[in-house]
Amino acid sequence: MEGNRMEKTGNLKNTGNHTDQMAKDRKAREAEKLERQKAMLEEADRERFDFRDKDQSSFKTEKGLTSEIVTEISKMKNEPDWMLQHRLRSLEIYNRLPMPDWGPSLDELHMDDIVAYVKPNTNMKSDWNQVPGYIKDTFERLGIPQAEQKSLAGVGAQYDSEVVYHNIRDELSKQGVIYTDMETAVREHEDMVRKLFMKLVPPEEHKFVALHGAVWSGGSFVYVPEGVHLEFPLQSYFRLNAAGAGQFEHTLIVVDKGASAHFIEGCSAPGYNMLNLHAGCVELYVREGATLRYSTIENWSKNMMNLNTKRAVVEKNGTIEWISGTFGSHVTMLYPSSILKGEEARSTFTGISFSGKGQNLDTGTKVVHAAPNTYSTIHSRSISKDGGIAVYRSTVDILPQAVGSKSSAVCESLMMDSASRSDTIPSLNIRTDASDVGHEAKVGRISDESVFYLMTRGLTEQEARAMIVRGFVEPISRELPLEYAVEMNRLINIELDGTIG
Amino acid sequence: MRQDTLKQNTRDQRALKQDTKRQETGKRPNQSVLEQDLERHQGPDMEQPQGLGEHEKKVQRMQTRTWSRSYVNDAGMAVSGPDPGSFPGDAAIPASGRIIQEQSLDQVPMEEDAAGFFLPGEAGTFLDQYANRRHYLRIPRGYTEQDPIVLDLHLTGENPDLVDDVFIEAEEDSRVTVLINYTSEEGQKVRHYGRTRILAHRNAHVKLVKAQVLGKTAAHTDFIGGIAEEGARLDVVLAEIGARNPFSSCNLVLKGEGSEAELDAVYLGDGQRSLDMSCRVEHRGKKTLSRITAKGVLLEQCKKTFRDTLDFISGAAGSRGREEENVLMLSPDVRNLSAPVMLCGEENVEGDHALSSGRLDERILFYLMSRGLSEVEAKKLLAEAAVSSVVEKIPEESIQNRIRERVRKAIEKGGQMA
Repeated sequence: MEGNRMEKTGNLKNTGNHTDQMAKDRKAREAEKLERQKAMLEEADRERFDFRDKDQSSFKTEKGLTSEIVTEISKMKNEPDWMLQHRLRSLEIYNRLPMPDWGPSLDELHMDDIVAYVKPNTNMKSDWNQVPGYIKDTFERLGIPQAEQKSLAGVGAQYDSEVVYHNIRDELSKQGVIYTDMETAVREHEDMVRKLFMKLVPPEEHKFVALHGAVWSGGSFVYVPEGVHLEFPLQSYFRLNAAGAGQFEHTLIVVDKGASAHFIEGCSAPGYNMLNLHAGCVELYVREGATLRYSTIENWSKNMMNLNTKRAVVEKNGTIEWISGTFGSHVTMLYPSSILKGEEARSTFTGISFSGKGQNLDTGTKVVHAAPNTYSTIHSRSISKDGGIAVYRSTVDILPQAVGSKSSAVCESLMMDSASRSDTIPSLNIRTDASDVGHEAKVGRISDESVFYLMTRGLTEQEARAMIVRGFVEPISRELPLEYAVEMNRLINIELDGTIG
Repeated sequence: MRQDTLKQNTRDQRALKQDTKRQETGKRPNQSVLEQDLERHQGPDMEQPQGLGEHEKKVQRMQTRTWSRSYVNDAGMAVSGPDPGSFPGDAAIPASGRIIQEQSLDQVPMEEDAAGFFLPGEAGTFLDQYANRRHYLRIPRGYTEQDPIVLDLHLTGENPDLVDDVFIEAEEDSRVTVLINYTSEEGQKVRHYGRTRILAHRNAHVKLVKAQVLGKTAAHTDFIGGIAEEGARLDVVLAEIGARNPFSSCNLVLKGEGSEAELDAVYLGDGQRSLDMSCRVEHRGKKTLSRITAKGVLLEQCKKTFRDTLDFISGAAGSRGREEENVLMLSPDVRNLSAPVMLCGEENVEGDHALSSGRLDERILFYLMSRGLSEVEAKKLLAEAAVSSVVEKIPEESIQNRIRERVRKAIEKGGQMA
């Protein structure tokens, strides 16, 4: 890589001298580089995510889903009875609800083939050294513990259905910050969890959230007490290893009055030929004057059905900030939603999706303005290439009581070729005149002029395109913590280089 | 305070009304031919949306469905009641006599029916069978006379049912303006059900103006479809001003290379009316160009749903499309739904859409009032200004004035509450 850069500089200096020879040289270099990149792609880069471990789980439920399985899960987890009842009620709702009649096709999904629950062969540890070698190895290869030492306030790691590691800085727990796995929270903070668990996203919402309610496992619980500001982000990393399995983690975050926090969620899974299902649920409670930033970089393997549900309720003067990057998965349906319940509550949504071959990424957001003077902004960018489908879908609701509210949305789509699709399907429901609502959208491609200009400055066409794409996603990447921004750029490079040949 | 209670009361009453309506819907005693047809088409167990009227059917209004809570997927389409009789009156065709005018559509070249996109199949059959006004207008090659072809269709107590089916075929290099004007006596229970189709051959330029200024008790259901061949241009001006629950759609297909479409819509919503509009432009040919502009004023308790779609089909390289909607809301109880959809399967295109919705700028209102205008007068002026860019495209001043008058009246009645 470095050598290549040097060559480039040399090339720059020579610009203008000779044309024929240079063009030939460049072609040769490009071809050479292409080969190298291709090889690299196959060997190194994808491998970082695609490696898989031997299935060493201690316990697996039967395929398919019955009330016995659900009861078994609940028993294994030593849950209070109300949680079991909640699971059974959700299962009943799941069986009753139809599949959605909109959005990408879910025909490939055969629920009976998804193993609902896979328990890894360990209990949760808070000392990294006690985590079993093969799991530790996985996360170390993903760079999780390194990041913790450097820049995180706390880390959780989930492997298949169970959280294997959870740790938080001492000074934070002394301030009353709770950061633990969901199972522990159900037992140790039962009152709070019972009051909030799946109250914001009830199982009646849709089929997959009902499924989640029945078989949820793992995930994180965060409580930030009044007035506490977390200077470093908390991070949970989800890794789905077993083939043909489902991951149904539940994340519940409460940021109390005047407090602030940043939560990062990372997801990945190795590639299998079988379809995996991820139907997580995220519930965020942002109390009066509090701020929560929720960042996700999702890079599931291309056999993943990612049907995730995320919702935040924001009280007076509170702020929710969604940062959402969707790169992986086969099919994604993900629309983080914000309910602005208190006066002057705010929400911002910044999203990027990159849809490549065989991918159908249906993403977007929903905002409900349910109080006066609430404020929302949406900024979405999507890229589709190699037959990928990128859909932006959104709803902005301004309820009659939301007098003086403002909402603005900008969404831009970049088409890399004509085999791909890029659809924008917003809807707006405005029920008071005393509001200002704007929506703008654009679809287009990289203009030949820009590519040509960069090429006259000595870049190859590939480099020029990559540079333009990086510029296109810059508004999103600058919102991410540094490591993640680097990670995203890297992902984009992988995706773009995939177009070669 | 008093006003608030009042509003609450009307809201409750409305809810009550809807409830009784719904109960009635269950029985639906006098089914029309069309309703029966539709039932056969869709099956009797098709779910009825809430608050559907007696003669209404749920039809899909979005090309691509989205979640049900957005309330934009479907709408109740009013279907005509009893079978219509004849409808008198004539069209004003310019003197030259070169235009071929037929009262039947037997000779119409039907390769593709663009209007059919939003028209449930059986409803099309109904139109085929029961239309009591048919016009086939063939504009000869090279025709360029300025005077518009005017169809004045006035519905009265004696002639309450109009089912019109108009087909305009413009031959190569012709230019024509067709103005279809729907009016009715206020207070009469009249019904209009119509379809207008355009086929513009190479380099033809067709301007279609449909001005619907029916009375507030009228029923109105309308479908427009247009196809533009190579180098052809379609200009459609659609004014939805009157009728109780106007339901209309317009689908323009840019089939030939270099064809263009411009669709301007203007609407007025007041009282308890409900407006439902779906517009779509399909870019199929290379280097096609389109623009959809909608301007509307909403007041009192009215509900409006406007869906506009730009659909870039793979292969429509070099095409550009833009859609824009500006809504002026003048009452706190309006319900304003929009779905500006953009579908893109081609890389080399530019698509743009913009939507803005809001109330009057208080500074401008204040300025006008400081110049001696009353609040209502100032609002009238600003509402008129909001829609004027589209209204001015109607080539007949009397219709322009009629629309302006309606806007002013509506604000006089419902504007001061805001």
